[in-house]
Amino acid sequence: MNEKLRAMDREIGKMREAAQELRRLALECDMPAGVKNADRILASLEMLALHVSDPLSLE
Amino acid sequence: MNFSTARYWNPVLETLPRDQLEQLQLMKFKRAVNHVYTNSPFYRKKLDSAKIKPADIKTLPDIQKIPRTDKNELREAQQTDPYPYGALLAVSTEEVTAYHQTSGTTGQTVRQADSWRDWEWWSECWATVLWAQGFRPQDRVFIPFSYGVFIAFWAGHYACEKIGCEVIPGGGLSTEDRILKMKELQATALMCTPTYALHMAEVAGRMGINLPNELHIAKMLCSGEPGALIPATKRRIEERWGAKVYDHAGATEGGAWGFECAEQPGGLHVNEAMFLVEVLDTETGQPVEPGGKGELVITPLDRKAQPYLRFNLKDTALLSEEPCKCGRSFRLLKGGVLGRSDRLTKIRGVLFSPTSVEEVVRAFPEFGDEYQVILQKKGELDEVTVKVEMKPDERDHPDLEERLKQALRLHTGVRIHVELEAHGTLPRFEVKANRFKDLR
Repeated sequence: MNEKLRAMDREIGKMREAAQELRRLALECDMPAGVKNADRILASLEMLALHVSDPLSLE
Repeated sequence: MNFSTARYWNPVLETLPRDQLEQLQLMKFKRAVNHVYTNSPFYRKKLDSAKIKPADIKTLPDIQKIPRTDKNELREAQQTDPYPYGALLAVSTEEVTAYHQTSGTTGQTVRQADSWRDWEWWSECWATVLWAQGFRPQDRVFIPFSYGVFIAFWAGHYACEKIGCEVIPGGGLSTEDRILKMKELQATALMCTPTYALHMAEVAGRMGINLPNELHIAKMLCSGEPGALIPATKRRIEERWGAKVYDHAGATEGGAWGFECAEQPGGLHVNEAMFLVEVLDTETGQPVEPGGKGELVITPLDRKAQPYLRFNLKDTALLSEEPCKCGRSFRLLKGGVLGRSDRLTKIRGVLFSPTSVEEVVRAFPEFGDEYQVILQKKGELDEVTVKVEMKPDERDHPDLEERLKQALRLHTGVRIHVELEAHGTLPRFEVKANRFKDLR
């Protein structure tokens, strides 16, 4: 289970970086549709982190 | 995908060994203290006044160093900028996407700000509850709720969507129409207050509808009042609906923190992965031993826009460390929420305080000094009647009764019957007034 959790955690990290980059680009394009949808993705990723990354950080 | 073998919304968090669960709580609590100290002017001031820095929290017992938060402090904090959330707001106003409010029964309402990220959090907490009670993607859930400013079942709606249930928003319909709609659409699950569940059953009876035979409701989440864990009430609702009834506890400030699982263990699990719930002795303020009864103090560990540390719920409960057959490591509050530590009572899911009536009544120059608040059962529903005396020379204005009703509704969030009495007809008191009568 822990191996799979770690793999999920890595995916969350990659997706967070991608969503942040997407948001940055959308801001540069003055595109609310890009910024706001990226915000929603980031909020969902934060929930995934509560489920996956937080328990992984325990001893 | 039907998740037929998935017993938990998150099997990792819900079955964490106790020592790891406590580590998780400490880690999150530290994070929450850091967040409020940096972003919430209210908590920064409160912690500074108590001479506490985030770095002072090193162990779980250290949380006792942080003073508890009471509702009156929140009201005061909301008198400041930025409007309307004041010093409680811990994000920019641009991030706020949802407004809700408490019912304001002990005074002015508390306004609650949530960001989209917080709505995600709300629905996660509710999804844990619903999954534990057997709600699954194939369910068609009917929500007979007003969809107004009170938070109530809003997050339940979002959580159903997150799980993948089909949601039927049953606001804006009469009770009769709601029953017919559930029948027409073959709804399989329902969420409402216990009082309303009984009321709907009574109405269905008058309509000649046999709920267990003609509807398809198999499970019901009942919340807003303690009834679903009162054995006689649970039994009555289950018999009338032919469905399983599960309790859930939450609060506007606290979030969706407690739930009865499908094993129906006679208590509420505390979602200890998302909340730190303390049961404190009402006299000493110290944590009670397992089996002890005390006052609930809650910290939602992952809330951001308008967060709380050690919020005093004013609910009483009995802490148990008995394991549950469901396998969750979350502890149980035996019998659920046992009552209020003050004199508040819930009417159709809205907290109601008899003393909140006084503020409204006294604002009317036409009324004398005496009034009475009477709480009684009308069929299955709790009803409040306010009797008010006119001033000696005052006559009953044609619209006065209606104006009082509206003012009471606005102030308390409860629909209240009003009776205007001639001067001198209500009881007088020598020392302490007792204007509240509970006839239920």
